[in-house]
Amino acid sequence: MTDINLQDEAKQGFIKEGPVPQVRPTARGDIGEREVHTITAPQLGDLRSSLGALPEFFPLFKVLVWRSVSLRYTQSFLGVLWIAIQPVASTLMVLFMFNIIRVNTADGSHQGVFIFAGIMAWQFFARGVGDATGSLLAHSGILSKIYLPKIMLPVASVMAAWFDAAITIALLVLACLVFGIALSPRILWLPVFLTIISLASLSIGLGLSPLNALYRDVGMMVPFALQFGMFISPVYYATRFIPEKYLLLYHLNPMVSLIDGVRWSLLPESPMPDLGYLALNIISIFAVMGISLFVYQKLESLVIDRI
Amino acid sequence: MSAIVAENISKCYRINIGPAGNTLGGQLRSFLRRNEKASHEDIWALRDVSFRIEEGEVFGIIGRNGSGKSTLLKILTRIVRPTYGSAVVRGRVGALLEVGTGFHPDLTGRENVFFNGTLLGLDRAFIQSKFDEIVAFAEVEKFIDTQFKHYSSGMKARLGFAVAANLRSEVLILDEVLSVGDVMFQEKSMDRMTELRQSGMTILFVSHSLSSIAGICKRAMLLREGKVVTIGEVGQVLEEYIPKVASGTDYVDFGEGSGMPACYLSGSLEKNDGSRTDRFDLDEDIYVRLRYRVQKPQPGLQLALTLRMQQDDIVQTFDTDDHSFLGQHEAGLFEKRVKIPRMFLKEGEYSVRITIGTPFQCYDDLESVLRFSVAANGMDTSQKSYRRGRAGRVVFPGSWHAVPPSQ
Repeated sequence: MTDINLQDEAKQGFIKEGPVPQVRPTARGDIGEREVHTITAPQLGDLRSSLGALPEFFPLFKVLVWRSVSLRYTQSFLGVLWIAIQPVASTLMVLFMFNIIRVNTADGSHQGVFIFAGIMAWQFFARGVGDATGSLLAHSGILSKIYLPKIMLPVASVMAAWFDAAITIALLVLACLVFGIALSPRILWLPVFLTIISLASLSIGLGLSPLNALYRDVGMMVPFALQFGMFISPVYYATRFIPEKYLLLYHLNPMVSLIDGVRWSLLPESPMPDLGYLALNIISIFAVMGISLFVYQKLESLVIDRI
Repeated sequence: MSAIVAENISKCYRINIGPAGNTLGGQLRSFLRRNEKASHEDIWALRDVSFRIEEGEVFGIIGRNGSGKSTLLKILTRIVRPTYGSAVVRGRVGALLEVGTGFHPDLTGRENVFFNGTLLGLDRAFIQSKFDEIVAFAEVEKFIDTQFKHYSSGMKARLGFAVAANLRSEVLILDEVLSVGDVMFQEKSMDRMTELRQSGMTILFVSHSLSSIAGICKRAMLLREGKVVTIGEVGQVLEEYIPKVASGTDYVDFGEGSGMPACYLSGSLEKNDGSRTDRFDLDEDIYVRLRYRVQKPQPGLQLALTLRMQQDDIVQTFDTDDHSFLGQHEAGLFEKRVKIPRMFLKEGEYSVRITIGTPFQCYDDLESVLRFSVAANGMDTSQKSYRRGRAGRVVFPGSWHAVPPSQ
C-alpha cells in the first residue's frame, strides 16, 4: 500500500549517508549537524536517554521551578509572607501547648528555636514529597501536548521547595541572633543535610508520582502518611526522649538523623546525630531512590497513555 | 534525504471495562479474579503505519475522527510511545499540538508567554527579542501584566498563536490548531503556513479541513481506523477521502465508517418525495438524509448539520433543537432527515458539514461532504431581497405589513 520500500531504506542506513546537511539557526541555537530522534516502543535504557536529554531541557527546567514557586504565592494576599507565617504559627502553637502542660521537649537548646528548626526541616521534606507526588498529574495538560523528559517534573517540584526553605532558614538564623544563640562553623553542614533531605523527598515522590497519576488512592494516602511521619520524627520533641530499646527501630525513619543533623548544624546544645544511624539512613535513601527509579521507568509511558 | 521515516508504527490502548479501573482496590480485585477475563479491551489506535517524508516536504495527514491522526502525531513528537514499530526523525523537531500549552490562568500574560515559549523550545533570549512583536501581534499590549484569567478567549488564542508563530525548527509537526479561531485569524495563520513552507522546513500537517490540506501540502496520507489507506499526491488522496458518485454530490457513502462509538455511514440530498438531487429550486424544501451507526448504546448522542457557503457558516442545526433532551440510542443503524424549508436559502452553492457526538466528545466530523445549489428557476427575483448578490445570506423570514400611520 505504501509507495516506498522502507525495509530497504532502513537497511541501507540512510541516516548515516549523504552530505552533512546545511546548518540553519534554530531557536535553541545553532547546531552543527542534524540530530536524529529514534522513536521506539518503551524499552530498557529509556531512563538513561531521558536523563541524557536533560541538559538540552535545562532552560525549561528552570522555568518549571520558577513557575511552581510563582504559582504558589501569586494571588495570595500575603504572598511570600506565608512561607514565614506557617512555621512561626506552628512553633508558637506548640510552645503554647507545651507551656500549659509544662514540658520541655527540646534537647537543651532554646525550645522555640529547637521546634522551629524541626518544623523547617520537616516542611521542606513534606513539601518536596507532596509536590513531587502530584507533579505528573498537575502537569498532565502539558504532558499530553509537549515532549519533555517527564522526570524533570518531580525533580523541579523538589527544587521549588528550596525556595521556601531558603526563606525559612533566613528566619531561623534571624531567630538565633534574636535569642542570642551563637552560630558556629557547624552551620556549613546545614546545606549538606538539606540536600540529603531533598534527595529523600525526591526518592519517595519520584516513585509515587506515576502511581498518583494512575491511582487516585495515592493522593489520599500521601498527606495522611506525611502527618503520621511527622509524629514519628523528632519535630516537636528531641530524639533523647526515645527509650534506648526503641532507638534502632526509631532510626529506620531516615528523617530522624536528618532533622537531628539540621539542629546540630544550627544549635550549639544539640547533639551530633549518630553517624552509624546516619550512614544507615543515607543508604536506605539511595535504596528507595533505586526502587523509585525502577517504578518510575516502568510506569512512565503508561501514565501518558492514561491521561 | 528523508526527514521522517516511520515503520510499522502501532499503538494499542488498553481500556478498562467496568468500574475497576482507577483505584488500587479495583486493581487488586481484578487481579484476584484473574479467571474472569475481559475486564479490559485492547483498542488499536494505529496498526502498522509506515511512510516516509522527504526533507523540505509539506506532508498532510487526513482521516476522520478516530482514524489515529492525533495518536500518530503524538508518537512522532515523542509524547506517546508506540506499542511496536519505530520511527526516525532527522532534525530538530518543533511540535504544535495545541495553541497555548501550559498557559495558566493565575500567571500574567508576560509570564505565560515565557513559559509557553520555553515549552515550545524557544530560548529566553529569543523570546525576549520577539516579545514586543508577539504582544503587538496578539494586540494585548495593555494587558500583558494582567493575570491571564482576565483575558477574553480571543486574546488568549491570539497570544498563543503569536508565540507559536515564532516556532523554528527543521521538522515542524502541526495539529489542526491553526484551523481554530475566526476568519481573520485563520487567514493570518494560513499566511504563516505559506511562509513556513517557503522557508524549506519539513512540515507534517494534520487537519480535517480539506481545503487547507489541499492548499498547503503536496503529498498526503489517508488514515482509516488506524491503518494507511493511501499515500500519494494530495489530489489523489483527497479523491479517495471524498467518495464521489457518478452524477455529483447528492449522495456520499462513507463505507464502513470509523471505529468510533458512533459514525456516519452515508448522506444524501433529496426532495420531499425522496428523489435524490443536488439542484434545488428556491421554492423547494431541501432534505438531508443521514444514515449513521451506533456501536455501543449511547445515553446522549447529538447530531449536527452546518450549511456553508464558501468558507462561511450560514446556519447550524442540531437534532436536539426540537427536543430538550439528548437522544438515547441503542446500538444499531439509524436514519434521520433534516428539513431545510423552502424560501430559506438564497440562490447559491452550498456545502454541508455533519458532525455526531456527545457534548463532551466529537465522534465524527465530515466537512463538505454534500454539495448542492439553489436556483430561482422561473421566478423573477429582480426586485426581491433574495436575488443573487443582494446583501444577506438567507431569505428574510419576516414580513412587511401596512399599518395606519401613528399620530
